[in-house]
Amino acid sequence: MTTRRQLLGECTAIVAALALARTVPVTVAEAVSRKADPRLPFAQRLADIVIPRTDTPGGADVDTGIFLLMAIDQQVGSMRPDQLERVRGTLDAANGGDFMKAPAARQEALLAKLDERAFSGTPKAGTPEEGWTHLKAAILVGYYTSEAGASKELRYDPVPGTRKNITIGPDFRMFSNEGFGGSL
Amino acid sequence: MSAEFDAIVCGSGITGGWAAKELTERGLKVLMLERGPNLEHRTDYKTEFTPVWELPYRGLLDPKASATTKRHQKRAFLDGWTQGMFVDDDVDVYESPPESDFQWIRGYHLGGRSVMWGRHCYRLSQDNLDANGRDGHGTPWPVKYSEIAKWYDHVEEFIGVNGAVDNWPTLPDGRYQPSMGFNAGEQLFADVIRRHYADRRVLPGRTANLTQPIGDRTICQNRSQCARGCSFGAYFSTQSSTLPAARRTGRLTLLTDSIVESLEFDAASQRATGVKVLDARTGTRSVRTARLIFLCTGSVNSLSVLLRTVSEATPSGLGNSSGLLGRQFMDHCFSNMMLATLPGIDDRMYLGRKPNGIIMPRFVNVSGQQTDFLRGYSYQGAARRSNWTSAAHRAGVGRAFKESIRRPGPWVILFAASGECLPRKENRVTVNYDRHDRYGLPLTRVDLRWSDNERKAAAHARQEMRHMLLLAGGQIISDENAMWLPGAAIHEMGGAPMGDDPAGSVTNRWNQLHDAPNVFVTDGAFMNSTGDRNPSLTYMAFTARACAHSVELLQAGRL
Repeated sequence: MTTRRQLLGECTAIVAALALARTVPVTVAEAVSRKADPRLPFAQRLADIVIPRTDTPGGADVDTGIFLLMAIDQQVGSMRPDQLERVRGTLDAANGGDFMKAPAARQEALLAKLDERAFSGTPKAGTPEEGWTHLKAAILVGYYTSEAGASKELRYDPVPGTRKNITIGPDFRMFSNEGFGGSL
Repeated sequence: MSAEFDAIVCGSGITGGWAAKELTERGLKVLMLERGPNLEHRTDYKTEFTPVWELPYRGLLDPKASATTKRHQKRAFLDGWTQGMFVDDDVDVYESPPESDFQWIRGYHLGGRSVMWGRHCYRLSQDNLDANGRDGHGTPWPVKYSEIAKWYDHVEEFIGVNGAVDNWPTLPDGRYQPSMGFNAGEQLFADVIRRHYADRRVLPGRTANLTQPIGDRTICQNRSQCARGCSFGAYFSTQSSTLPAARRTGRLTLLTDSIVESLEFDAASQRATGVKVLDARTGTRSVRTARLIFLCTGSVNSLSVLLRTVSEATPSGLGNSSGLLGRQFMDHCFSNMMLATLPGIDDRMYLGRKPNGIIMPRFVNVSGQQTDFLRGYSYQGAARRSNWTSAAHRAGVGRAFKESIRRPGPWVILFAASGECLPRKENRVTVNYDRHDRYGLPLTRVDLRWSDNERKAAAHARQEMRHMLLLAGGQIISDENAMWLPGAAIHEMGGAPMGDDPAGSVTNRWNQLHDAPNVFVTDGAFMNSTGDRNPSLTYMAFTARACAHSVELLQAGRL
């Protein structure tokens, strides 16, 4: 039995989250072709609400929305295009109109409520809440496998060299390539 | 007889590299044949330093490949960096009946699976070697631990294994470099187990990752990405270790893209005279001759070579006068991967990604038969801090959520069981002459099915695992509750068991075929039983021992 093969820090989390990235190359060609996708502004906005720009780039800054669209269109893992539609539908309904026309703070609040419902138990299949769990996982994969997400927002340490047990304080920043040699 | 070479070593993986080294160092002129292409140390490790954002699928396995060309290989937890090291399942085909669904996981290139192996190194114990004779399953081992111990020493000292002298009765200690030890999570779990059990221990894993340099091989850089290849030479592989040693003698000839089709056998002398070689690029065939043949192509391939060596004198394959060739085939039964939290140590972290993990040696049926299944299992695992991936399973959006992902998540421990597989005649490797691979060779067929013994042991292991993980005070957050498919452990072995009686074995105590004493089978095919622990160290030790014996026999004129 080998650390190569099994000894990951979070097998189910990795399987669930990273299953989403299996079919999604963010090539230049893909990025260019997605620019005209009418869903892109919504996808980018979702990514930016989940991971806003702070002192490091946000989800939209690194085109996480493109990654998300590719994931649902190529039906990566259990991703499906209707998940985005369901989430859009429920956010529009909660807003009483086009979600994308709401003020930014209201958009964030509405998505936060959907997120809270989605993770307060196990949502039923086919619901917007269930759809959101998949979209959120894809957003996290798309962001934290980007160069900014992996190496600026988190610490990227490709060749640690050392091996040491340490005590940490509240400001310790986690590594992105933790647990499985940089793969996700 | 005149021959081109003193010895031909078939295969360049973990045992092939060892055979080439030992034989050339003992003065023999050796031809090593590798069926795959060259894989140059350092320069051919194409993804070793590739950051995740530069990979087409962000580090994950190509999804189309997952369903097609890597549908079996993916059981080895391939990723975007390592997938190129594994064969194409649409090209390198084989058969397995649905009731078996054997997963044959391979790397066809110089070094074979020594490039991608898991590096865990544990010695078999005398109890492991006694099991067949004690319970009547399989061929009794004809050797004692005391005969093999010095060869384990020899191998461990050369390859470099980090580990601790633990003085644990079921896990013989070896010759180790300083252990990589535990991280805080592993230490916590080890302390819990020690407090609760007198007969169980969690020990640091023993792996062929260097903590002290050997020659120009530098110490492990704690990247835990070994299967991509390591330019530091910090883990044992053919490329980093045995091949350079063999080359230094000036007596090695290496041919890649050279498939061993069958052996050439002379019935009059009862000796193999050489190897029929198929050029993988051109399809041309040739015969290379030698006084000694070492079969080190991996158990399934070595059995296939012997089964394909059909003649009037060997109608059912070379080495099959007992009828056992290909039978008693085995793999470890991996099962029940579980993930649990480890509370109370949130201020503890580690730098570096040490690759050794932990082991809990077998504790069931050690002092007598205690369960409703024979033999037993061990566990392996590792502890880590959760990272950003865990955020996909909790509520949160926005600045505070992003900020929270910067902090290490909970400690978690991953644990899984490695169960012994009983040797049974119905589990076997054969060749199917009605179907052929792309080279025109009859298709290899593997039929290995778990028995009730493996199932009962797996169920017992799961129950014990749950209980032990909960003792640490955390929660079980993932519970696989499944037995892995045969082959998925990538410890396939057996099919040419060793014994003193030719009627009940294929090889003798020196790994020689009873039917052709100048043929030595030293990859996993010779194994009579699996034990509960990683086998590669044992393969290497037996290979070194067999090489020494073969040279003695040659020099004494007895071959």
